[in-house]
Amino acid sequence: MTPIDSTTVSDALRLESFETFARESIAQAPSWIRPLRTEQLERFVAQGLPHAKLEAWRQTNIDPLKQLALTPASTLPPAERSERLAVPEIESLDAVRLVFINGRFSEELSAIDRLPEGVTVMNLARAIEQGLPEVRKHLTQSSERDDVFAALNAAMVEDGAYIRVRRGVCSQRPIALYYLSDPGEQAVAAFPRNLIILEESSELTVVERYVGVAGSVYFNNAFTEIVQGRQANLEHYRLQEESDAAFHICGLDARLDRDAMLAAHTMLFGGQLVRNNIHPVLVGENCDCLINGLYVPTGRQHMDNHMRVEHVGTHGDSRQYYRGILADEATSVFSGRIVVAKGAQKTDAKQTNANLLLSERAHAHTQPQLEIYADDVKCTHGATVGRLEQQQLFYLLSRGIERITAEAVLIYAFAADTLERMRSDPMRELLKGELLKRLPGGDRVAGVL
Amino acid sequence: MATPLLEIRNLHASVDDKPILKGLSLTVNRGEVHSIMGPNGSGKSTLASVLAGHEAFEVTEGSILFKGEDLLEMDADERAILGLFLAFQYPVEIPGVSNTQFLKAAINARRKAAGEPEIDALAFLKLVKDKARTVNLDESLLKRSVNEGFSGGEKKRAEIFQMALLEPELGILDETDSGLDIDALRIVSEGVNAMRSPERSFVVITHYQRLLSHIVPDHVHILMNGRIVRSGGKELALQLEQEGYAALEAEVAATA
Repeated sequence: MTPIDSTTVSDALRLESFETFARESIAQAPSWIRPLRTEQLERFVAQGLPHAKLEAWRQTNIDPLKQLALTPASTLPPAERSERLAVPEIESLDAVRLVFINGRFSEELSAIDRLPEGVTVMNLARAIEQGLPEVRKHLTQSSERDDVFAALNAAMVEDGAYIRVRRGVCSQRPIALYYLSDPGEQAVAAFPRNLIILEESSELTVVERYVGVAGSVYFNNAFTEIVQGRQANLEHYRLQEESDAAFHICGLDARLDRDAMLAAHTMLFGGQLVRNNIHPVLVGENCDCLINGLYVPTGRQHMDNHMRVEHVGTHGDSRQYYRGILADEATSVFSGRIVVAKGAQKTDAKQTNANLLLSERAHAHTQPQLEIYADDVKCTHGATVGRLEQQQLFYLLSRGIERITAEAVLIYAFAADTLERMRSDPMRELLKGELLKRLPGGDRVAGVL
Repeated sequence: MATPLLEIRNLHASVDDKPILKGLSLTVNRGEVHSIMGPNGSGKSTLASVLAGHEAFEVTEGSILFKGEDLLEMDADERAILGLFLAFQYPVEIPGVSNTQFLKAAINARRKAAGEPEIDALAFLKLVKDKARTVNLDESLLKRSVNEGFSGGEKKRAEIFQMALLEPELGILDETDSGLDIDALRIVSEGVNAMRSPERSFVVITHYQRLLSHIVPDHVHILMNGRIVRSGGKELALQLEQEGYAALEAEVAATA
């Protein structure tokens, strides 16, 4: 192992001691953002790091993260490229490309070209520096009040993507954000933040893809903030393929105005400890929100999905479909809460969580919750934890299909609905491939399905 | 004499440690249709499951030879490749797997075992079309997930359709007649009869004689309490239909 030089050691911090570092960092930021970041830092300090006694963290132990000596990415010299990682570009998307290395924008690897008219895309650091009015207005404004990692991300905010689609513009080109983690010998902490603003009647597809050098330890605290105007339509994909030793805590907060539509798709593959917070607020009336996800932990991976869907406007429609496939000693959490505010009449909210255990030692915790303050609503929720259906397996075997193929076919079938809900053909094909790559016997299924 | 296609000797089988089959013997030669009849709980479906290789059933004694090979040493998929087919009493629904995908996988598994290349798309489509017609199966059903949303009759026809596609040497029909109206019963029977040949055999498991007037068996066996208590020709089925299982049960008890 390469000896760690003294400067690196002095820059390594535990998460609990981030306050001093954050204050120094804030002091160097543009003046307009200092109060916002300071406010978020105060929240982070006041709340403190989560522990197992908190209801929202009962099943997820972040001690291994707390004990890590972290090097804030902003203390490292900016890297324009990674020696060890190629950009996992999704060619068939033909997307505008923003690439980040350890949370910081790489101009060299990015391609912000052929932008449709009315679409603004730049890295967030630049947008903050320019102090764009839209950024001043919206940045950190939608953060969930009791999410300490959202607060930490906002307090540390430095870079990420800033996307704005003007009124009435339907962008034919998706925007793809590639977050590459190549932390070297140090456990780097990065705080990428994306701000996506869709004005009235606009349309866009955004893809976030996270990858890391295999086996490397780092902490990605990522946060995406979405603001949708009336009738704005966003298709959002998050594909998380971090190193299996990484810590990944991400959030997605969205505010939907009247008639807006959001489809948020998430596929979780990587990370030793993963927390995925999803929090859309259907503010206006007649909003439509699809929360679609699949988590596939193996080994000793732990994946925690924390949903909070808030209905404020009337006639809102939300559907949450989350599925987990757990192998080995993997563990998962699904905690889904539907909150229907007083006055959010005619809400139609649905939530399902299904888990498939492939091993005796895998554990899935699931906790659907309803919090309803209106009286004329339709809310349903359901959760299941099960194993492969032996009758289905026998049926396939009895037709001469080999066991390993038959099992893989059934596992894939369990996830098929999740893929079917994705509107983007390139994304669905990509995710199908990524899923099959990870399933035992998946290579055989590829020939069948 | 040629080796029998199927030779069951003194078969004992249990599920959850409860003995169901208690010394069943049966020999099926090539080209023969055997019917196994019996009251509910006599072990008919257990026999079908044991033959097909369901793991929930434990064989505690006896032997089964199929084409002279020890069937009990084989997994369910190996038995199917060797030429055994079970038409399920309750065909299983598999959401997320389309019939087309499933059938292609089953056909290619056989071709792979035979050292043949995978079936090409056109040949597959033609084969499916031809065989679907023989059992009057609506082709649009094939785009759906396996058995999902099929009516009872459609499920049974789909089983016979699969059998026609996979061309087994031994077809085991487990109460294929249950839940079928008279038209469907006729269609299913015609599908089976069209497959009868000097090389191919069937074991038709049923509670009622009705099916056997369409698929006329060479031999009829009565299964009671896990054993074959009487064997005869097709007239045995008629006799049973007239007299009922209770009378036969009493007769068997008296001679035991």
